[in-house]
Amino acid sequence: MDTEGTIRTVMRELEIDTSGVDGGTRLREDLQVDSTELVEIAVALERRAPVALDTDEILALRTFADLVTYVDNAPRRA
Amino acid sequence: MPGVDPLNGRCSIGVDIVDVDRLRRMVQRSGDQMLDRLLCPAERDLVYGARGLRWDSLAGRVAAKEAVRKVFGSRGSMPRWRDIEVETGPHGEPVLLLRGDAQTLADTLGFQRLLLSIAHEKSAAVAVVLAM
Repeated sequence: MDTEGTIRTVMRELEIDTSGVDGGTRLREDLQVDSTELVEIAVALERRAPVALDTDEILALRTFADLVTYVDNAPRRA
Repeated sequence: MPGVDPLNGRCSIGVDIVDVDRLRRMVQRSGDQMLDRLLCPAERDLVYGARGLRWDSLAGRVAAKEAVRKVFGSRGSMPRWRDIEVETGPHGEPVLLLRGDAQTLADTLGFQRLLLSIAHEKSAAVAVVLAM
């Protein structure tokens, strides 16, 4: 599965409604995802993919596209 | 008095509220990895009581960290989450401890004190941080 698909799956599993989400969708303002949810998304993504995600970098992301790009470029775990 | 600012613009306030049950569901889904990201090692011990994890205490700490981030965010800075630690003072009161770059940011912004108050009941925890 591609990065965007994985993120959408994770968000749905965490009961975050991803219908109508596109790259410009804002995580906090539009999806009403708060800091603890972003941390939970990071944990869930690390369980699904061999990536290392930094808590503070995740918290600084603004849009869904930012999240996809960040995960795409995140360091890979061995 | 209009036009007089005795704190010379160095006073900021932040507040946050955390839904205790919602946080409990998140941590129960995500386990220790979530706690490791939310808490400093020393805080891990403080949120456990005789009957296990004290969810209200965890929620209070999360709210406090978010309130601190709002204080700094209002000045265009953002400390790292785990550089913000909530300790317990001698009278049981919550005390903020900034580590690493967070303390440097506070110094740069002229914050000499960070005051924290936390309140919680069964469903929610609220934290207020005053920086001056």
